[in-house]
Parts: sequence; C-alpha cells; structure tokens
Amino acid sequence: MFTFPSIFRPLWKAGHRVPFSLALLVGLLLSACSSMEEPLSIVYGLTLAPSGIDPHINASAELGIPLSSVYDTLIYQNPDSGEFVPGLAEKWTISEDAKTYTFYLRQDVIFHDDTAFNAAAVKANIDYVINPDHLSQKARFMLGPLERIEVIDTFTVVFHLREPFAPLLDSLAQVYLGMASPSALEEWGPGDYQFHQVGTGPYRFVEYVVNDHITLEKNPDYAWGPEFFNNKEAQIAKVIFRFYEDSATRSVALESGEVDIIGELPPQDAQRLAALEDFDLYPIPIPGQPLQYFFNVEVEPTNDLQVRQALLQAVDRQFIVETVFGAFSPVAEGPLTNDHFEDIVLDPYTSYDPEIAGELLDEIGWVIDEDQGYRLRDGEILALHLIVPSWGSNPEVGQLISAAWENIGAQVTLEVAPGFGKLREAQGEGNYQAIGLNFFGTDADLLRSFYSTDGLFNWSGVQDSRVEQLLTQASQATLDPDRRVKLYQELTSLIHQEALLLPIRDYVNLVAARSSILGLRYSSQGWFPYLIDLQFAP
Amino acid sequence: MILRGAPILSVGWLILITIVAVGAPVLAPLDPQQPLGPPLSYPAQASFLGTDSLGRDLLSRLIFGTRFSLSIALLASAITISVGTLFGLTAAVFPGLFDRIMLWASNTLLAIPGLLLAMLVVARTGTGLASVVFAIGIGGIPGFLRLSRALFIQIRSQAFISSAVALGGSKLWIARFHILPNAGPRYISISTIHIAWAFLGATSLTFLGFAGDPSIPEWGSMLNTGRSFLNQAPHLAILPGFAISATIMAIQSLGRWISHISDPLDAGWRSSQSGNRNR
Repeated sequence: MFTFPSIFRPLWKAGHRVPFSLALLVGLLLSACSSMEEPLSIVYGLTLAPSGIDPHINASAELGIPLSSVYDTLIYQNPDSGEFVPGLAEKWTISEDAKTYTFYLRQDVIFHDDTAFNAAAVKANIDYVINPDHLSQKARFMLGPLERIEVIDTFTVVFHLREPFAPLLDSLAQVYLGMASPSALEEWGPGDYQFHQVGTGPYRFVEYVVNDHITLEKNPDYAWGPEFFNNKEAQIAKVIFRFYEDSATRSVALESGEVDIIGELPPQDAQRLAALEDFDLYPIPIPGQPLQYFFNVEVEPTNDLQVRQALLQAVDRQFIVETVFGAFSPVAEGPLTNDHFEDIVLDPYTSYDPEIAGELLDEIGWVIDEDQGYRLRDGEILALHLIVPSWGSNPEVGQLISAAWENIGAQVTLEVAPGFGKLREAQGEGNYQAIGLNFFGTDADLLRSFYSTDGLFNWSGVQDSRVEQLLTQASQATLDPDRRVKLYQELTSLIHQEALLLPIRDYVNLVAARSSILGLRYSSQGWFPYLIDLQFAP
Repeated sequence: MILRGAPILSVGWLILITIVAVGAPVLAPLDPQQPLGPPLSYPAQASFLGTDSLGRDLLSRLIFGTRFSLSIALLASAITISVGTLFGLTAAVFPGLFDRIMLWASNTLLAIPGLLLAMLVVARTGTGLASVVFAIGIGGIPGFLRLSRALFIQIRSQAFISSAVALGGSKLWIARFHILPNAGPRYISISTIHIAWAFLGATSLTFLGFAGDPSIPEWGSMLNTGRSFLNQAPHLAILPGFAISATIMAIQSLGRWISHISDPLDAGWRSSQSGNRNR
C-alpha cells in the first residue's frame, strides 16, 4: 500500500488535495522536461513479429533489423560500392581452386560478455549453425557445400569447401552468420539463446519480450567497426523495437510519437508523410526477387507455353504498379530486381496487349463461348486458380491479376493464403495454376532454390537441364565474376522465354522517420539499418 | 390497424436492399471486378461514387455487395433456424432426458459467444463464403435453440395442449399441429431478430478476411479494405459501414415490431421498449 509520510498527511486530509496534487503534477512535468532535453532513446517500429530471433537458427528478415547492430560479421559489404571490406577479419585469401578461404582475424575484439574473439569463436559459431540438431532455417544453407572449419592459430581460420561456392562472401557478410559469443551459445543453446544474445557489435542485446519488444543498449567499448560506418561509436544510448503488424496503424504510430522510425508503410500513407515537415521518407530498394507469380507447368492449362505467354500478355503490370504502389516502385522486368543486379541486363519483359493474348489462346483452341462468357476447349472452361500470400500487397495485386485474366475470358479463383505455413500447405496440394512468393537476397544464387529441379521453392515444377546447368556453373564461377553475370543473364532470358514467371514490381521498403533523426542508412540487403550512424539533429 | 407503429423507414430500407440484391446485374452500372481507371478517383460521370482503392467502380461493388452480404446472412440463418427449431421443438415435446441434454449442451456452448464459436468453425473449415455461411449457421444454433425451446415450452404448458394430450394426440401430431402454429408471430419475431445477428456475424467474419477471395464485393470485406484509406477516401469505409449498420438496425426493429404486435399483453409497446431481446 502506498502511504504518505506523516508530515503530508494533514495536508492531504485537510482539503488541500488540489494544491498538493498540482505540486506533484508540476514536479512530474519538470522531471519529464529535464529528460526531454536530452533524448537518449528511440523507438523503431518493426512490422512483423518473427517466430524466433536467433539469427543462426531463424530466417526472417525482420530479426536482422535489430540484430545487425548486435553482431559483427567476418566481412562487411560496403552498401555504396558493393565491395566486400574487412570486418572482424582484417583480410582474407581464396585459393586457386576456390575451395579454401583463409581469414585473418582482428586481435582487439571482445564480446559484450568480455569473452575474447578469436579463431576458436568462429569455429564455435559455424559449428553451431551446421549442427543438424539445431535445424537452422537459413544460415546453414548460406554456407553452401562447406566441408569443415580449421583453426590454424589463435587468429587464423580456414573454411574448406567441397566445391566452389561463389556466394560465400556474400553469406559471411550477413547477420545470419554474425559472430556470437561462444560461451553464451554454450550456456543457453538453441531456443533460449535468442533471449540472451551476445555479439561484438555497436549495440548490446538487453531484452526480448516475445510479440512485444526488443531492447538494445549502446556498447561503449566498440572500436572495430568497418571503415564505411560514419560514426566510430553509437550516438543513441538505447533503441527499442516494437511490433506493428497491422499496416494501417503504422503511420498513426509514427505521427502520434509512439515510434520514431517505421518501415513498410502503405504507399498512400507514405505519400502523405512525405509531404509533412516533421517526417522524412526513405524509399529503400530491397534487392532479390520482385513481387512475382510462378506459373505451374505441371497442370492444365498452364503446362502449355502458349497459354502462359497469353497470360503474361494479358496483365498490365504498369497499371498494377501505379494502382497499388503509387509512385514508389519500379515495374519488374525479370526474376531479379533491377536495382541491385544492374550488371545482369534483363531484356524487357512481355508487354501488355490483351488482344494478342486473346489471339494466342484462339490459336490453340481456347475460344470464347458466348453463352458462358468464358473460353472453352473441348467443353472445358479455361479455369485458373491463383494463390497469393497475405502479405506485401499480394492480395491487392492478386485481385488485379485475376481481373486481367477474367478480362481475356479465363475463369479465375483467387485464394489468399494467410501466413507462410498456409501458403506452403496450399502449394503442397498442387492445385494451382499460379502462385506468389518472393525472397530477398544480394546474390543471384538465390534463384537456385526456385528454379532447380529439386529446389525447395520450385513451385513452377520446372525440370529443365539447361536451367540446372546454368545454376550450377554460375554458383561455382567464384573467381570469374564476369562469367557469372553472363550465366545469370542467360538464365533470366531462359526463364522469360519459357514464360515461367509473372514479375510485377521491385520491392521498395517505405521507411519514414521523424525529421529530428539523422543518419538513417541501410545495408546492401535493404532491410538492415546501421544503428551506429543514427543521431539526433543538433 | 395492424400497421400502426410499423417501422416504415426500416421496412423501406429492407425492401430497397432486397430489390437491389435481386436486380444487381441489371442495376449495377459497371463490372464490380474490373478496374476502370486510377484508384480513389472522385465521383465522376463514368463512376457515380468514384473508384475504390484498386480503381473499380464503388457503386457497382456496393450494389453487388448487397447481394453477397444479404444472401450469406439469410443462408446462415436458414441453417440456424431449421436446426435450432428442430432441436427446440423436440426438446419441448420430450421433456425428459433429451431436453436436459439439449439444455446442457446449449448452455455449455452459450458460454462461448456465438461469433467466437463461428470463428472456431471457420478456422477448421478454411476461408471462403461457404465456410462463412456454415460457421455463422452453426454459431447461432445454441442461442436460437434456447429461445425457441422456451417459446415452445410456454405454449406446451397451456391448457389446450393438455386437452390435446388427453384426447390421445401423439407427440409428433401435437408438435406439428398445435405447438408450431401457435408459436406463430413470436416465432417469426425471434427468427427475424436472429437474422440481424447473423448479418452482423457474417459481415464481421468477412471483415476479418474469412471471405477468402478479397475481390468479392462484400460489405464486410469492403469495410476492411476501406479502413486503410480513412485519410484519403473516408467514403470507402463509411458507405459499406453505413449499409451494414442500417440493415442490422432495420431487421432488428422489424423483428421487435412483429414481437410487440403479436403479444396481446403488450399494448403500448412504443413506450415500453426497454428490454433488449437481442443476444
């Protein structure tokens, strides 16, 4: 029970409640003001509550937003030039056969729990990731054909590969292979470690309350950041991350002062915020795959190339992008986003022409039946089932695609799969002509799991030896980047020729922040901010 | 005069939306699924209420929405009322163990609000309009069973039923020819009020996205989509929201009016509308 000290009691009792409360209130306000003079923390709005946030185990992009500042990686990718630069490794060498990578580590690095960083720590991390019992969802696959890790001396470590694997450096520059304290990994183990994370980065991990918040605090000892960080140490003492899953609430949270930075704003809100003086809009291109829909080549009628070509031609991608995303998105021209993969020149994708689409279908016997209003062949309706994920404006885009296909005489049913689990389930049943899914990534090897015959996400059901060969050759051309580019160029043309994919738009993450916050920058992956560079306007 | 105090506005609204629902393909000026131009455009000649967030004609969508929302609610109510009546009547004529089981089961299920029960059902059956109909139909049964059972038991306890029993009438015959006909207007009234509940439930489920295909013009899902554009185009949410509220209120007041004119003891009902019989 709260009781007043005895000297206040007469005041409280004798009808002096009002002045006394006022005095309390003024006192509170004064103390609030003094803390407002020196704002020490910011709130960053996350958009999806991940199922888990252990970067070695879990796969979401969301977890990297806070954790990229908790961990350092062996190497970094300079977001401006795209070059790989030293991180926790001062330098590295790659053998002639591209199967052996030697990393020479920095000697002055300590983890947040005062454990020293060394070659043994690197080995402990990688062993933790590749341990099959830990069921890593992403990090394990990012290591490709890794055979083993060898500790040469205290600060030299070697990665041995079974085959060349060109994306390895890209993988090692991401938070999923960030370096965690081996003693913390051992103490907590998978499952619990996500609540007690220990890295070497500019921020320390303080707390994670599931579905509520993640708190980070400045690491005062940090002195080993890569050269492209603008600040040598973090300027903001504390960063709190909160979740805003409902997109309609995000701009409200920002405008009401609940959060200082928030991403994935709906385009209409972003447009409005951009016009306001108190907020800055940061449209951040996200590299990887565009918003896209795969045609299923294993079922009627999309097993016919000409049907797929007609369906591509029936969709006005420019109109869809303008309608759903406003001014903020480029129209996608192939299986990779243009912004990051500009070396891989994509030929312009099939253009919009519903008349040609209709003729293509007429040619192969799908003719409009005046009574039913649909195209029929041998008494069967041109029926299409389109499955779209519930996130990332997919339902809106799906409605417009389905309207476009209805427009050329197909009967379309649209199914929105709520969540990734339901999407996989629906895909597993195989009853679809087209399905949406896209991943993000900075290496074109990303395409492998989508187009390789036994790829995890080969939802087109493509089985093509030419595709297979190009994917393998490209992933092994570690030491010849030009050849890699050429191989991927061939691959993207092939995907276009075979009309396997309907690409819609390159993803742009619409982030808005209070204007008083400066220095917001993102890594090459687009999602991950460099919190160390954030500061308040003077 | 039997029409004294009739809720003219409500009846008028219900007649209007029924006509619109039946004649939707003729009345709608444009295709509700095909975009016709830029999104969120203002009312213009081509499009009386402007376009929605995907550039489709809002008026045509509202018109077709009448058809979808109304038929979901009516089909769901048909399930509830037929099953609820069957069980309620059986419970009333077989007062022993069967009645007690029914009462126990419906009381247990009533602990879960009907809408929550419907959401449990739809979570199992998956999304889609048919699922929504089924879920709302099932979700309403416990409440409706209780109401209809009470009504039938009240009639059963009257003297003419005892006479029929004394005459040797079978239970089935009594139920069919004496209880059911005499439930008449009161029964119509509880059914009508139930339809209002079903309408609210159905539009709630579609608002939450259980309709499956978001391109289906249905008032609940239109309200949900419109919610994201409250700043730019508030009418996208206001119009379907108004249509839903108006319809529910109209059905409710019609049901209450029927209940009061059919109750001989309730003369001045307009002055005594304190009790809310809705669940």
